[in-house]
This record gives sequence, C-alpha cells and structure tokens, in this order.
Amino acid sequence: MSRSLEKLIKSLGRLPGIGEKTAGRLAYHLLKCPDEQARQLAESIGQLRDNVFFCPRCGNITEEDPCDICRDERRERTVVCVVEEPSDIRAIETSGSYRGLYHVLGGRLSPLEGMGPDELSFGKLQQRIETSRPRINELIVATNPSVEGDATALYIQQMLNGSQVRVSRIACGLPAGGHLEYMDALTISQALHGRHNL
Amino acid sequence: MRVDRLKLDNFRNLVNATLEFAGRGHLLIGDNGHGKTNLLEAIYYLTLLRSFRGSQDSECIRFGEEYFSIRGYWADEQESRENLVVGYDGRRKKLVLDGVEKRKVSEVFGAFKSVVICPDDIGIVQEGPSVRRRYLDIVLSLYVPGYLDCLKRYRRALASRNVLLKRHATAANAIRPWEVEMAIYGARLVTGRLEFTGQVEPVYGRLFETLGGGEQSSLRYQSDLLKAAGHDGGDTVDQEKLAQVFEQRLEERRSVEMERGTTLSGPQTDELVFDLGERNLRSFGSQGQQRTAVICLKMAEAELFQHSRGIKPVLLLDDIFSELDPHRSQRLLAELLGRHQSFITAPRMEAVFDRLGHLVPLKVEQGEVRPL
Repeated sequence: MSRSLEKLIKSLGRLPGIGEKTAGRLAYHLLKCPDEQARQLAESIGQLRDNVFFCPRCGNITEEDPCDICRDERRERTVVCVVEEPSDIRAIETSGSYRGLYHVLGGRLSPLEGMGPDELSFGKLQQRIETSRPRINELIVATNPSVEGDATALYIQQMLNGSQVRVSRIACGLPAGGHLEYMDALTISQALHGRHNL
Repeated sequence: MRVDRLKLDNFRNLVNATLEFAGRGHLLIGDNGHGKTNLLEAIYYLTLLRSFRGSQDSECIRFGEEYFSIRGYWADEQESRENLVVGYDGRRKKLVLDGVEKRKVSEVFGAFKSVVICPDDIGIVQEGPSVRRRYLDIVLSLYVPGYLDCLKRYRRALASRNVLLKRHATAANAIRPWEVEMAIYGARLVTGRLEFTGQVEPVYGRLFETLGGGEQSSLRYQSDLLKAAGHDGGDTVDQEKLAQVFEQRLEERRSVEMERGTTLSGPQTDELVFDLGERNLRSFGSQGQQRTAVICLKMAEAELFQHSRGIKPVLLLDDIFSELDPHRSQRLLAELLGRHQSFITAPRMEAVFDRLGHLVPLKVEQGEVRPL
C-alpha cells in the first residue's frame, strides 16, 4: 500500500468514533473523489486550526476576541449558562430560547478520568462573577444529567454558596413530545422529583 | 411467563435450531457435557443478558464461529407476546426487543423473567457477603424499575470518591459533590434491598420449614446505615432521612477513610444474613441445609413476584431436583414447580421424576435437543 494512504488511514483512525475499517473507507473515498473536494477538506482543517480559538471570556469557540455571543449587546448580560463543552452552546442556541451569556467549563469533574477542579475553568468563572459589570445575577448550570454532570453542578453550587448569585440547575425529566409509558423509571422518578407548580 | 420458542445460532455447543417448548416445561435429559446446562444458560440470557455461569459473552460463541445469537419468544400472564434477540459479534452486544434495537441494557433487563437454580448457587450462602449483595442487586435490577440505574450511578460516585480518597490531599469541596450523590443513590439501594428482604423473608421461612423438615431459618438485611439511622427493624425506612445520615457519616469519616484510601460504609458493605435458629447458617449449617436455603431463597423469589405482581417467572433448575433427599421435599418442590413453566436438567430419568409428570422429557445429545 502507498505510504501516504497508510498515513491518512492512521490519522483518520485516531478520530473519535472511527475504527480502522471506516478510516480505510474514508481514505479510499478521498482518493477517488474529485480533487477539489478533497483539497477543500484539507483546507478547512487547516483554516480551523489557524483561525479558530477559545473565547478568553467564556470559552466558546470563536474566530474573534471576544466571541459573537460575548460581544452581542442585545443579550442579557446578568445571566450566565454554564455548560461542559462548546458544542453544548450550539445545542442551546439552536433552541432559540436563551438570551443570556455562557461559560464553558471545558469538561466535567470526573476523578475516574483524571478531571479535577483544576482542569476546568471554575477559577475563571469565579473571577467573571466578581468582576463582571453589570453584575451576574444568575448562573444556570446546564451540565449533563450524568453522575459527573450532577457532581459538577453541586461543586458550582457550593463554590458560590453565600454569594449574591442565584444558582439554578436546568430541569431534568421527560423530553417534549415523549410518552410516559416509554420512559425509563429513573427519568420518571426524576421528573416527579423536579415537578413544578401549575 | 412462558417461553414458547427459542432460536439458537452458534451458541456454545448447541446445534443451530428453532426449539418449540411445551407450556408447562421440560425435563432435559442427557449426559454431562452434551449441552443441557447450555440450554438453560441460553434461556437465562434472555433475562440476565449475560451468562449466569459468569462466562464472558465471547466464551459463549461456538468454537470457530464469529458471533452468537439467541432469539426468544415468550408470552406473559396476560398472553401478551414479546420477543428478544440477544446477539454478540465479538465486539458488541446487540439487543432487539420486539423488533426495536435497544442501546441501554436497563431498557431490556427484566423484560423476560426467569429464575435459575444451579449447584454453584450454594455460594450465595457459603461465600463472602459480596456474593449475597450481588444476588440482591441482580434480583432488584430485574424486578424494581430504576434500581439498575441507581446502582450504576452509586457505583460511579463511589469509585470517584475512592479515587479522591487515595490522593489523600483532596480538598473537602472537591469530594463533597460525590458524597451527596452517593447519599442519594445509596439510600435508594438500601431501601430497595431492605424492602425486598422484608417481603421475601416470610415466604423463604415457610419454604425452609417445609423443605427442610421443620427447621427454622430466617433472613435479614444488615446495614450500618440503617443502624445509624435508628431503624427499628421494620421493612421500610424513611429514604430521605437515610440519605441525610449517610451524607453526614461520609463527611465525618472522610479523614479516616482518606488514610485507608477507601470508603468504609455504605450499601457496598451491607450483608444479607441467613439465620438458622439462633445461629448463622453460613458458619453452622450443614451442606444440605445450605443447599435447601438457596433453593428456598430462589423459589421464594419466584413466589414473591407471583404474589406481588402476578408474574410467574420461568424456573430453570440445573441438576438440583434429584439432590433433595427425602421424598417429602421432592413432592413439595414438584408442587411448587407445577405453578411455573419449568426446565429441569438431569443426567438420566429417575423414579423421582414421576412427580414431574407434567413436564415433557427431551433428550440433549451432542448439542441437539429432541424428543426422548
């Protein structure tokens, strides 16, 4: 086999969710597809690495400092939604139902994977809360409802215990349009626990 | 529950075939090593989604093949029919329930309910407490919705805390979130196990008295947390109070546990105790009494779910029946078996099987199952 091809298969195989076979298939596809298509892919990867960085304020991915969201004057500046990864911002933005700012932690607490408080941007979050003008009134913790995501939320809650900031957690329970009869028991019990007044 | 049909592909030494079963069950007769237990194992895969003998999925693939698959068709007490495919291709387990692929084990676990009793089960009485906790966890995962998810979450929080304890210098605020989660899920585990023990105990005690020739044996769930919460010995406990007590205890013991590098209290240290009169069955019971205890526990499990939910699990008895000596015990067990669809293995037909006349005998030879 050609050495270049082998090298590409190896690189593709390192991507998440891609095994050896898929890597091979992708590499052959890139070899056979129109020249322009393959070069465009290579170029976009290069541009991504050259131009994109993490917003120094919120940790979102951006090509400008600060990022679009931090710069947007029309957004509510007293509410900050805390998420694990920049991709979570995309998910929340797509919903169109949130108009505040964000803070990306860069992961979640997970001692089993070597992620402690020092690996995440808690310090920057605290600093942001202390220095931001106008003052931040509310943090919405939108980490995933996993054991680790919940622990991370608890950590933030105790970190801001005694401060003026209201700390809330996104609701967790039944998905919209879902049917009760198809839900697993833990989801239903959490939904019951997190019920609200009508 | 009644399993009507089983389609086997490359499972152990069993010949690829679709087997049809009789409504009341079968006697499976055959020499050792010909596949009787493998057939029970295949049926129990539909319940546990893995081997009850502790084998890896890969060990269940027939030698020289690349995958196995088991498809079971069953009807429940309301004659509502379901089918499940459990497949393994050397890398991934595939679960398809009624034609829909399920990614989470907890979505499939317990859909088909069966109870297996095999010679190794005596370990539930004889071996260490972890074997008894494992038994409780499996039963509760099968029958109590949400238990398995709680168990997974608890274990993950516990493992996380233990990692932090081993690092010694971990700050309190980094360890506390995991303790909060352990308390929430741990309290649910203890509550579930306590309730189950309380419900199964009277049935177990009654069975032991009849099968064991009048002797008294009882079961109790022993837990440090319950003691700390001032639990009075009943079957129920205030779950929230228990969580508070647990969280407080984790905090109090944090520095001691940091020296030891591990968490010393919680449901992972609890124990299911078998008493024999005033003594402990594990230390003082004879081999025969211990075997009777295990059979009674598992039969009680089956009876319990019949009483409480109207579910009659399928019974899978691996070479157990003939080990019960007095005719009386055999008669009583046969009576119990008559209420469930049962599969019973034995090396050869014996006189005692006259009592099991309702079961259709099948011969298992070199992996092939056919009428005797």
